[in-house]
Amino acid sequence: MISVKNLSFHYAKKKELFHELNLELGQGNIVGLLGKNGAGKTSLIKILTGLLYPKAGECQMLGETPSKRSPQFLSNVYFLPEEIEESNLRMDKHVALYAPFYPKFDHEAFASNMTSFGIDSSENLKNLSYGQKKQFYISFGLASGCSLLVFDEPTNGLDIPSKSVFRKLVASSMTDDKLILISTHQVRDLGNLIDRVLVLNNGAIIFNKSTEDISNQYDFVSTDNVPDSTQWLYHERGLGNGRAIVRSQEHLESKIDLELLFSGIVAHPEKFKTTAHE
Amino acid sequence: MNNSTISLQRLSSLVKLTLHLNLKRMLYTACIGLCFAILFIVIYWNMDVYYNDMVFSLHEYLFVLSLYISGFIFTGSSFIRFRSKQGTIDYLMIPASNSEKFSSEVLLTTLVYPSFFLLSYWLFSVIVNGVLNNISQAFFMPFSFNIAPYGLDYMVYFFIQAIFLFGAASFQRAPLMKLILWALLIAAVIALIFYVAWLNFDYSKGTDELAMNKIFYSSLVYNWHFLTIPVGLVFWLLAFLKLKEKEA
Repeated sequence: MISVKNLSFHYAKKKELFHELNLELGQGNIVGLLGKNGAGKTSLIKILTGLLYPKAGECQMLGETPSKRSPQFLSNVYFLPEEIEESNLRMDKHVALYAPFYPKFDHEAFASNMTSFGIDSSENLKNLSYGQKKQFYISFGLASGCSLLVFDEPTNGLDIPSKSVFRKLVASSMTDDKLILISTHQVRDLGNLIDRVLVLNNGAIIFNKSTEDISNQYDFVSTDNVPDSTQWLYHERGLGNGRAIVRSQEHLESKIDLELLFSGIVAHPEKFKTTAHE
Repeated sequence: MNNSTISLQRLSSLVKLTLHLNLKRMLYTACIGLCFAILFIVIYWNMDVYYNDMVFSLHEYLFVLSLYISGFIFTGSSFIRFRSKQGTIDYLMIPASNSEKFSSEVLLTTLVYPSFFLLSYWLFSVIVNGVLNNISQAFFMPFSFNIAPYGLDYMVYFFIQAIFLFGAASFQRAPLMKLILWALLIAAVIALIFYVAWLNFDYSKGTDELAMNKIFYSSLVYNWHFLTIPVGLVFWLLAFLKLKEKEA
């Protein structure tokens, strides 16, 4: 679904953001794109959605070149940016005006999503809080029928119950022909939602593994349980017990501590290097 | 036509969306145009010349003048969503081709706005005539749809509209200032061409070469309006290319 080959991109000529970046992502996945501020997450998303043009290399999404911005491509891609445009439309009017551009738009699913968030479509968007606007656009995106959904920091501004609703809606709307890419640095919000973790650091993808592989390869343990620090790939001291990542000995699945994993990958990328078959 | 370039269904959805998002802007700009018209009426009134031909055919002049002023303001604020990053993303992500997006802006500024202003001006003229005819003995020819901009007037409108559309597609930071400078630059270039034309036109020495120049320049002076269409189309093309290369 997403195929990026030798992609290079820069804003200023002397400072290249991506240098010969490669990435392959298939459908049927909910991918968490993680990275520190300025790592290039939003830029990568914008290139994938055709909002920025790569300087070199090849980028294919759904078999099309995003930078051509063909209507077929755009009607199959929904992008929710972190910051939302101020709109003076009523939500039902917004749907009436924008839904015709998405041939597979599901009005029933939209209504159901809105009900889950507890928003009334007859309200004007300008009267909503930032979080409520996000809820509306998430509801719209999930009902759009697009094969590729890209959410940039979707949980920013959402209250705790809404974050939970968001996770439920994303999980329930997932089908085998879809790819949902969620970019965030609030890794806790993704919880058990994602099935692949992609970490971007300094313009390079330093980690790309399925959650199944992560569970099989790493254990997330209390430092008290594994006191031998030579086994720790990464550890963090807490107020009580510390937490550490160790190589899984028995290849048993363990609960992934996404925040700890992310910190570990960013701190010691060489220890978490993705192998070719992954 | 290739479905990925223009689809009538998509284009109509886009025109509907564009119209809806620009309705208020269209209304405000038409009001600005009519305010200019009122200003001119007041100036003429105070000049005490309201019996002359100019005032007799008041609406004929004022309609074209106020359409030009408001139309160029309206066109200058095309692609208004490009003025914010979020707006740019939202606009570029609308599932329609660049041709459809450009066509909807062109339709709005070349057909919809002039038609909307025509109706607004007609309503305005009815009110103005009613008021002025009541407070003075002056007779004001009613505004007729027959004097709607056509031919030369519309060609001028089209030409300047294309220049402003290109400006609107190009300038997102401090657009007003840049548009004014841009319009002044184009006006200066046109003035220069005509100044040169005028110099040559007046030149009376009659060698064959100068005679040819005379023919060329006189044809430019008298037939300049025929240039408005191709030059306008060039600016449309440039505006389209600007839209195509736009990033967010």
